[in-house]
Amino acid sequence: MKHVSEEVVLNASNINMHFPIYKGLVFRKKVGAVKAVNGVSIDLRRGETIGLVGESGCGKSTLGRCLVRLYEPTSGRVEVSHIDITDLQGESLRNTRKDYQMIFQDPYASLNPRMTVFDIIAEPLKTHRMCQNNSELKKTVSDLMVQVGLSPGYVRKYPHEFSGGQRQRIAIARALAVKPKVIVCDEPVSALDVSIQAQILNLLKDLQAEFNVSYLFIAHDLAAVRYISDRVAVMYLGKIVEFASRDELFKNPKHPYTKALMSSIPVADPRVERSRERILLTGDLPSPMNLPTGCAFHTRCNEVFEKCSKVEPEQVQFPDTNHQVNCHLYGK
Amino acid sequence: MSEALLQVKDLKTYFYTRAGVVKAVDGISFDLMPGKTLGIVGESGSGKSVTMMSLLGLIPQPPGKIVGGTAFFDGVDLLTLSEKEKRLIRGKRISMIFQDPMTSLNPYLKVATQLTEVLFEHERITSKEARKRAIEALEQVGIPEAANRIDHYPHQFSGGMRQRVMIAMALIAKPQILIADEPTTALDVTVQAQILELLKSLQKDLGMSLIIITHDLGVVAGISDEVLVMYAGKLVERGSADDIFYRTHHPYTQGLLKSIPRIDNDASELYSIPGLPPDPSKLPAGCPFEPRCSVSKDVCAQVGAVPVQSISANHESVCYRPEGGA
Repeated sequence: MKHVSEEVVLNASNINMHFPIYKGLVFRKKVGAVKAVNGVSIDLRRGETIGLVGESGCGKSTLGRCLVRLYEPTSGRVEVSHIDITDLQGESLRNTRKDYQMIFQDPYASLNPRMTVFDIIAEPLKTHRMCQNNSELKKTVSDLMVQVGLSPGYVRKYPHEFSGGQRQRIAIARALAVKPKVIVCDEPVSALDVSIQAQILNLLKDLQAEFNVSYLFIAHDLAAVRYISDRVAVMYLGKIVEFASRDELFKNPKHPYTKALMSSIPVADPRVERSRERILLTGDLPSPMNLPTGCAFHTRCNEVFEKCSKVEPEQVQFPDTNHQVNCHLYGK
Repeated sequence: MSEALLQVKDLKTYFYTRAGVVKAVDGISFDLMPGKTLGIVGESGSGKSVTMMSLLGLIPQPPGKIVGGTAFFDGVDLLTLSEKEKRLIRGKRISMIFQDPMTSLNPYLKVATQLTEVLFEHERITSKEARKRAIEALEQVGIPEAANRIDHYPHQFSGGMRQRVMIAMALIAKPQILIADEPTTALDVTVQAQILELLKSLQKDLGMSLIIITHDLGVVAGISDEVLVMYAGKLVERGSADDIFYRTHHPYTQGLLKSIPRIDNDASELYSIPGLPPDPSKLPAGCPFEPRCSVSKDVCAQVGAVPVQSISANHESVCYRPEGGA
């Protein structure tokens, strides 16, 4: 059975990730920055799943990568089980890596085509010296394959011999091999067929119940996020604009962006679809190189008023429901 | 009931590869009524796109070959037309928009050139007149400052705007049928909602028929009158949107509907169809869904065509299971 404890396994505070843009061949000059993540704080508890949703380009994958030190954030701290990993280098960084792993979106690109399934799953085990000898290694790999629903008879096969769903299972086994506390899942099902998505979502849920691992589940599909998450964070242009428990967020969305996002998702039910009032946003996401002033969402918001384009909204807390929202509608 | 605009019967498109014959489309039939929307649902590899490309003569031959069937559009069989005759229909009377607006526009040409190309191909028209029509088309799909934007290159448009350009291009010659192949899959949800609303309102204004191919049952529910469910190149179930969603008969359709998480309820356990879609070059001898089916019987694995059951006037299911049976 799933159990979420109070223990915080991952704590990120005030993460900023700005990618500089340079111009000029000889005299390279910094002319601007893509502000992918702007001041995000998040705490992930043991055994918990936080769903991170937003449109493409909102910085959700960048944030995920900052948390597992695939990017070095411009500023901010990341702690995994109370060890500050922000400035670690070399051997000491590598030693902490077994606590946090990542599953990527595209299982066609994330597995080395020249390695067998055995090599892929055994690699992290060898790096972190998790097994005493070869026979233990073999047994661990085959146990992992069973846990993710693959036949251990496939250990000598190569990734191209598997379908997308099976490849994602290999990627999950590899991430799980070092018994991590946190797994960042970056769109793990969006490249898969509908009937396979449900299999992978259920597998992730079952593994969480078994190993008490925490997930940061990054997705643009709100329905999948609703199914798997305990808490949900909605991101827009590098900021978390709303953060609440799953039930609270879906029952009582506050931010106009969250509301629009929810009303945009088609529901597989013709009667519901026919009677639905859609909130249609105008336009596309503004460029993260040149963020709008004030609230970043004011250019597309349907409840915009004067203050929005001038002042950036502060975070508003609703203490009884632990609901956080960044919007002037709820400020004083 | 009025006459069908497009009547496809028993369409079969096979690909002859070194690994064997791939029956990408194997006996698909459907009718498209004027002004109506047909949704075609299926997973990747189920033959949805190949069906449409066969109708428009876009299948590379070899390795592909249309081995059987008819497709009557306004009294002529599309499958027997010469290349020259097909060119008179493609883009003019039947248009298609593709999934990825990033790759289906030519990056070297201005949008104006790409939009007017269709007009020069099909109509005797001056360039001034063509340009005017192109600007109108862009305005129709909701592109602001169309008169300016028309001289931009595709990379200067965002994803949603590019898909609007694609739609404008498809509609400029006022086709009777618009085929949209996963028109919103590459787009964000908020932009997807915009594009779907646009397609619906354009359809109403222009009175054209729409075929929308998608794997997203939510998209289908919102837009379709009729729905066709495909699996491994074969028809699985066909009926009105209500038939498919509320009076579902085929176990595959049922499984698919149960396996999608929904935004409007919290299921604690999601059903998942076991197994994988079959390898198209090694299909099972009987019903293609039999190995994954939860209610399969001995008869389902037997060699031979699965009977088409008529559930109601316009609702068919290709399954051995008796009507309404468990």
